[in-house]
Amino acid sequence: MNRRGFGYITAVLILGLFSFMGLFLVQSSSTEYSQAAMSCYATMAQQLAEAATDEAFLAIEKELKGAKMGPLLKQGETATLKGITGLNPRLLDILPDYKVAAAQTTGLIITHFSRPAIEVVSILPTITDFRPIDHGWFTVDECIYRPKDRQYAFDRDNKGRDYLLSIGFSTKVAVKLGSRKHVFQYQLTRDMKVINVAPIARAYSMFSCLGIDLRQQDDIYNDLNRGKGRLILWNIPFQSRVYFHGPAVIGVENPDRFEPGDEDGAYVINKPSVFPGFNQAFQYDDTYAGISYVPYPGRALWQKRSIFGGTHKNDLGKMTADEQRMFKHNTYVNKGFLPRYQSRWSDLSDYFNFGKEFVRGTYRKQVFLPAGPYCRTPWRFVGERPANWNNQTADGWPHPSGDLKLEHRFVPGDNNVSDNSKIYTELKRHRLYQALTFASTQKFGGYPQTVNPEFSLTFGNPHDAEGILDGFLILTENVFKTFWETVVVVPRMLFIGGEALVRLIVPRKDPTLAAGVDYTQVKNFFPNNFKNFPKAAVVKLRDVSQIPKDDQGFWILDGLYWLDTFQTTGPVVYKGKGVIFVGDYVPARPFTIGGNILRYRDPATKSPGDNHLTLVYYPFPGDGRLPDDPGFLNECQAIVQGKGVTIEASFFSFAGIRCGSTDVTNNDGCFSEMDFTTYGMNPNAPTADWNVNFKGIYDNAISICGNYVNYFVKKHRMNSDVWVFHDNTNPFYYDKATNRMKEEYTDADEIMAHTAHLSPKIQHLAFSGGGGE
Amino acid sequence: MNDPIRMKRRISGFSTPEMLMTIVVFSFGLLPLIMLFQKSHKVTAQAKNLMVAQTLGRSKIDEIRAYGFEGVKKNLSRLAHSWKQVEGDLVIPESTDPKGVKFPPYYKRFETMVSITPYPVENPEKFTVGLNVRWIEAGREGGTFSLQFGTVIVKLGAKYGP
Repeated sequence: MNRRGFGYITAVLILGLFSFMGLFLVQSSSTEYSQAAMSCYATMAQQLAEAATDEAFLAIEKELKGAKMGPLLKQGETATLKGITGLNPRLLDILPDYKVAAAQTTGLIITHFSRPAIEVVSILPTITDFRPIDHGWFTVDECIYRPKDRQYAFDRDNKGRDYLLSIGFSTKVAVKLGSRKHVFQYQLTRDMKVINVAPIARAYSMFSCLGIDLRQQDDIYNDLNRGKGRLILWNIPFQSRVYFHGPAVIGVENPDRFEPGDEDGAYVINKPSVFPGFNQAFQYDDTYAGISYVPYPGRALWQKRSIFGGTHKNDLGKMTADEQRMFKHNTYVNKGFLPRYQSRWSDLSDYFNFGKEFVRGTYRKQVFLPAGPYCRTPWRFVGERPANWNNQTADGWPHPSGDLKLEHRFVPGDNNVSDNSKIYTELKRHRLYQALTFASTQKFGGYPQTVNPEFSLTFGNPHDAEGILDGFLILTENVFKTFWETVVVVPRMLFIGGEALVRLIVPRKDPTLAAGVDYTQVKNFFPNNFKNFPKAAVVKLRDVSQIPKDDQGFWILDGLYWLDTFQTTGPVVYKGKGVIFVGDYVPARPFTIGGNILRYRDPATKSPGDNHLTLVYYPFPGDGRLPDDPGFLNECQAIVQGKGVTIEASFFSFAGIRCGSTDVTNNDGCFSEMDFTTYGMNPNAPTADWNVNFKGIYDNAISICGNYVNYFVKKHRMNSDVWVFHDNTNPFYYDKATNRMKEEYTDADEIMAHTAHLSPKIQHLAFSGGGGE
Repeated sequence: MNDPIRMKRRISGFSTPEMLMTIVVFSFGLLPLIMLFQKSHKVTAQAKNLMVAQTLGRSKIDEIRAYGFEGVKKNLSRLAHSWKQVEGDLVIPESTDPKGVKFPPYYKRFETMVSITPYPVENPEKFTVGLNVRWIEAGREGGTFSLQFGTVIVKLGAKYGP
């Protein structure tokens, strides 16, 4: 047969073809499977790298909040807003490989994964940028207020600034398949804010940036003298600072304008058996605590006494050691002459030297008491002409001023600013002739005169004669001194008074929030640790209901919470350190404090520890008006409801506080004269003998335990007494070891003041790798 | 009629035995090929299941992470579960949207189990999340195939508790 046999060949060829196809198919399927498996392992690796990185972020956040905050702040010292970032931005000298921080991830790998062999290789941190947060003017050194007696602002060395940094982690995870190791790299970067949550202007019991609204010309004379309630500053004597931007006039009370028994009343001169009232602004006694609210040499009152002498009180001896230290601390040439019994020789010198001048107040009730009850908590002494400014010289003859004047604005090198922002009072000036037991008041020759001297406390008394020779010397000195004071000082006082009046007509140009103001107009203006609060916010919340709370309902503070509105209707307790900021004015839901805001105290030790709140109300009108609109400034106060409200916080309110009822028959929240004695402040006793019932004050008035800062004080909106206690239980303000208000903030203080916060937002993420090693 | 060429053409071709032999040889050759194809098909199916498992692993872990620390803390009992067939809504928590995306029916052959462990147990700051995905793999020894996924969710930022 002639057969060709192609069938076998064809079959074999077809089979061969199929085999190839099959092999390719199998190869393709295997590759697909391998790729799928690799993809799975890559997913696992990514998830584990993500987990390990998050654990590392948790660890670094803890470290930077705690032990490594110090190195972080130190590193930030040299950083500038532009150009220079923090030195050594990788921080690798203090931040190790965070592999050990990923304990849970490692545990998960060991206990949960059956295959393949996965290992976290390394977790290395990187800080890619580290700069101060730019708060505009509030970050410009020249714009931060520093008082005359200091060469530097309070937060020097830049450690008090807020910072923004980008922290990244580069995490490597290895997956071992057979003999090959595939390494995946995962990178994640987050922003971190480092925020200073310390009180604003913490050296100050009160800091009023602009004081009163100068555009409202009547306010210069009236604002601090209106409102039914008193604004009482309980300073740490001679340590707390009080800053008030002038010009403004603090009215001083005149006891003659009252009847005995008047609830608002005060000491009645012709009935000395009646105790001086709370508002008694005159020296009535020879205790240091009775220092008058008027400048030397214009003493308010000289008590009559017997020709045979009087009682010489040893008030310094009655003071506690702490009081003596505070009284002596840093006051005029480190001493305070106690008012004391005056000798007959001094009387004679007074008589022959045209008598003595004294002044009286003009208001029925004094409602701003910057030195506390009976002037017994005076503020820190700040010399008028410190030696550390080149353009100023020390005061010369007859002697430096011994008066304790309120700190007000000044700009180095521009004395006009200082002269134009002083705080004045309004007085009637009288002249008294007195020799031995004879006395007469001159009521002619132009007396009494209205004068506007600087508001001050006088803590120095004329030097007293110790003997005949000394008496004659003093007599001689007094002749010249009286001449000097009559010829020079009085016209100066009048000039100052007149100057204030001139400014009523031509208001001084003062920085406000109006547009067009540049930084040169706000030099030495803002309190330290003031900031552009939205920029420092770490979380935005609707209202207080969203503030994080613990199981007991206590607020948990940590960083700066930015709230849309703030209204409390009852007591709240907070733990931790933080700032609550409200930046909107919502007429339907105004900023309202309806109950105590208290620091958490450890139940065992009763200590509040370093829990601290800075409460900031800086409202912006949402109705088209500008923030400095005069009408807006009169309605956007922070409202404090009730009379027994205690706010343990550093409290900033842009336009002051509104409290109490304007109804004249409703006196709730205003202490009567008897209340002060009831709460342990006997005006006739030295401070050492006081047994102040602070709880009674907290329960019956509005108290700010911390400090109080505002732009405009708007005193006329206060119709309840508001007590500001510069808090000596809070380590942010007070150093218990040295019994001093803190003014130099150590590294430990700055570390305590700062909190670190990772942003929940991811700034950068990358995942790559998989190649075998 | 007796054209030799025509006669030659007429007799060329495969005889019946030849055909039978060819078919036998072809069949014997094709049999392993069919098995090869079958294996390839299985491997492809396994790869598909692997990808589905990966999708489940990625999406479920991502969803749990999306809760954040506080969300996980609040929904701990609901998020952690023992073996459960994969079905229903794609999104956790279950969507109220009737037209919400559902898991395809194919996913019913998969089961998942989620374990969540707090650390430390008192006042936790981390949650360790383990996810197991298993499915029946036809033709595979033991029949069941499984994969593990996992993550750790930490408490970053503002602290919402003691």
